[in-house]
Amino acid sequence: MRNDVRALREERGLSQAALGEALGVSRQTVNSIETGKYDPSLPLAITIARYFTTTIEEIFHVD
Amino acid sequence: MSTKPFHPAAFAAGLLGAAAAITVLAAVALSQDRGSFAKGVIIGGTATILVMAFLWWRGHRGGTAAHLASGIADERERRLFRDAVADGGLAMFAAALVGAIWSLFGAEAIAVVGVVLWVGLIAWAVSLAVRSRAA
Repeated sequence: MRNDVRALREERGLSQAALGEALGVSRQTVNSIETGKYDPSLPLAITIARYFTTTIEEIFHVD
Repeated sequence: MSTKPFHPAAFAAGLLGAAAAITVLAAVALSQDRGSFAKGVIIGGTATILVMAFLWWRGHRGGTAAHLASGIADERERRLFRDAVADGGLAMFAAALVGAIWSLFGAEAIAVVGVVLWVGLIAWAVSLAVRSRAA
């Protein structure tokens, strides 16, 4: 599944570690989500969307 | 979902509990005149505790294994762990089938059990390492 997490993170000038800290996950997990290797659970996807003050549909796109 | 908070006291209690269990097991083995088994328990158990303590020390700076050992793994890391355990179980199942055939050719039960356990452990470790890199 494609997503815009990297673009949103970079817009805010955040490192992967900083975003991971904010979301309560590891830096490696943020990297895996950004590269599409890992699809987050629904609760984590909601947390990500809330963090970026947007909706899940705006961030995650089904190929 | 997220990384669990790390509780040093709980982790230390776990290590102490493991050390106590090893001591009791070794003492029971010695009382039954199984010195070789007791030595194996002490060496293997101590090595495991040292590895756990090292991973604990690594804590947040470490990778998936350190997060899992410290009890602070997030959802992705816990899933990797579960998948690796499943791989280890499948490998043990296959090894048990081979071991059953091997026993027909005179293999001792303790040897078959040892091989099955090691196959499971190695499969788990390799699976976790590979899955951690891939995901």
